[in-house]
Amino acid sequence: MSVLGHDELIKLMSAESLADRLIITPLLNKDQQVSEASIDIRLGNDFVVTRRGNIDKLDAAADVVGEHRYQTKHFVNFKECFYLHPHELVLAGTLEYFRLPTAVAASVTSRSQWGRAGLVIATATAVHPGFAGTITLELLNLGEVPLVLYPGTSVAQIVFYSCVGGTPYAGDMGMRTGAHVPKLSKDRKMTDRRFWLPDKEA
Amino acid sequence: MPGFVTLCPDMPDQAFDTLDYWRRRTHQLREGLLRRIDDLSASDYPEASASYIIEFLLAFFEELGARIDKASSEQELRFISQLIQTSGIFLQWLDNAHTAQTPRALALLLKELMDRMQPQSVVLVVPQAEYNYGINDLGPKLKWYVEEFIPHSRQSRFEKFVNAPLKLVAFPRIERDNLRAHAIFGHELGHPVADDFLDWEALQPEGKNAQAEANAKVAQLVETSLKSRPDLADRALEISVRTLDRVLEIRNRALQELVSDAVGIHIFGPSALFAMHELLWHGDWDLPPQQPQWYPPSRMRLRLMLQVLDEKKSLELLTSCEGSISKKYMADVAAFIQHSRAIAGETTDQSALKSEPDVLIAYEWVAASLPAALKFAAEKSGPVLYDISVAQKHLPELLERIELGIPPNEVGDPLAPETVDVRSPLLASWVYKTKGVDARTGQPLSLKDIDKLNLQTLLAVEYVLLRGKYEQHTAATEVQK
Repeated sequence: MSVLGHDELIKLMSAESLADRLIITPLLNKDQQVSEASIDIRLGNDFVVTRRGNIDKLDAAADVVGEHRYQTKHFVNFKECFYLHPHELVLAGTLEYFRLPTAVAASVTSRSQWGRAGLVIATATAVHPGFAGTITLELLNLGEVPLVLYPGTSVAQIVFYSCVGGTPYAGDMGMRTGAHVPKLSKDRKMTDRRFWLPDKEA
Repeated sequence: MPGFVTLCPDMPDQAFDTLDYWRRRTHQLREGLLRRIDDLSASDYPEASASYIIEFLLAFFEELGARIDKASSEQELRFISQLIQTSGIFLQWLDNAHTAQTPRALALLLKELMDRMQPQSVVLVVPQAEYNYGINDLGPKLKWYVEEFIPHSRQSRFEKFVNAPLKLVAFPRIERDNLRAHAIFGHELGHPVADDFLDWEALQPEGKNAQAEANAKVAQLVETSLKSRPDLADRALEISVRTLDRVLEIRNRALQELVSDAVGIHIFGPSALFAMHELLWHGDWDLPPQQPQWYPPSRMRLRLMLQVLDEKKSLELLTSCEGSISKKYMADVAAFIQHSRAIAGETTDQSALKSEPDVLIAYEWVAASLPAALKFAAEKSGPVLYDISVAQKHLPELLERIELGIPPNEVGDPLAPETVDVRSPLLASWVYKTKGVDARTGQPLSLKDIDKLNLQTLLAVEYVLLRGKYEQHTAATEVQK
């Protein structure tokens, strides 16, 4: 596994066959966004914030509330802003839509200038081969002052790796748009949940 | 004394004053409306139009306070309070115009198309429970508000609002994310064109001749009818006028709808046919015109849309798309078109029209006017014409993108992609959906697949418009440098 550098990224994005191509759309400013070994990605318009008063806890063993009860979606237009307060976690969709060929995996990280301001952009950073969709960023302000976020700002970067023997992603997060919330109790991979988790009344 | 409330010692024995009572009641209504409008200003709207209307309403009802203070009669206050009550409809519109209920792509797409027809349009897009599409002009309403209720000395505050083309666009909520169906809006955008045609035609010699011919036919019809009813002979003039009015209404409504259908085809191309066919399928193809809408028979409308598409060779161009990917889809598209042609090919609607003699006169008049009307529609659609010959070249790659789960928004060199026409994602989406098979699994499209297709179509439209604006911005910045 090796990190793909600028020239490899360009090559991958120019692949003749659409199926083999690394798709990032819209890539509005290619020369600035494609860096030495990563691609800068932008904040989209959709944010999801938690309504703490509507939920006592998130518990994978009990699907006690529907996501709409404790998640509020916000649409922020371009040139408008979203205030991320210290120690607040919000979800935000990327502006760009991605499709990775099956020979490539990726991970999402902060851009250093935003990281130094206290912004963590992802806690679950892996993007699987064959994934298609917008990426949901988990934004967390670890600083002491509110951060003002504008849609279109490049807050994150995505690093790509070659992947040998990868199979196309077929999970729940595929082909989604905007920011989206997983349901812990609906994890399709926990087919053995009855073994690990206690039985709880829904 | 601390801890005690001091009551007013001089409270009058009787404070009730009729005019003052109703004045305060009217102020309460105004305040209530203002607060609810202010609540809505915190909502997320897809673009600036809703905020613009909120700005107007807040300013207007603030100014209305002075008018209430100066009102000198109960009648005047009642008039103002009725205005406030009926203005509550704005709350309903604004409460549904936010992004949780109205797809951003639809609002942006309609704004883009309307701006091409009437620059600087303000477009409030709202879902409605009723299964219907509509575009209404709100400009005259706001203008009336200002002229009727705001003193001349304060009207300049509202100048920018009353002069903007302001449209209220309603779509059926059940179709919220189905942008394909919203190609129907091409028809709605055609209504002003149809009205312009009727105004224009009335001044042309051909239009006057056609009207004279219809008048003669109505006179003949009334004369024949009265032969068997001598008791009505002294009411011949009244019956003639009433019949002529009815013929005129049926004829004008038919032309309004048919011209609008033609404009819809010019704006959205084959997508308008697909969308309208689905819409009309719910009713009777041969239902003759009926009060109060007097819609022409659906079969006639389908026939006319096919005629316009054929004159432009749009369907021929669509189904002759090259490449192996297109070929997978075009047999199904051709089959759908054939299905439409088979419906349009029957003439049962024309037989239905012949059953009522006044309807027949109206539709003979329609037939006489239609060639000029279609020419007029094509000319007036110029700024928003959908060029199928360009779209045809883009379609194979757009379909491939949909197959791979990528929004169909751009084609060509991946490092310098070509943005497609904002309506092409709809057409690609229609073609994919018409085949109805998931390219990844070979199985019929499930409802979940259709949901994903809907989201990708919406996203593609947003991306096309965003890239267009971004490129305009960068080009302008380069010029400044």
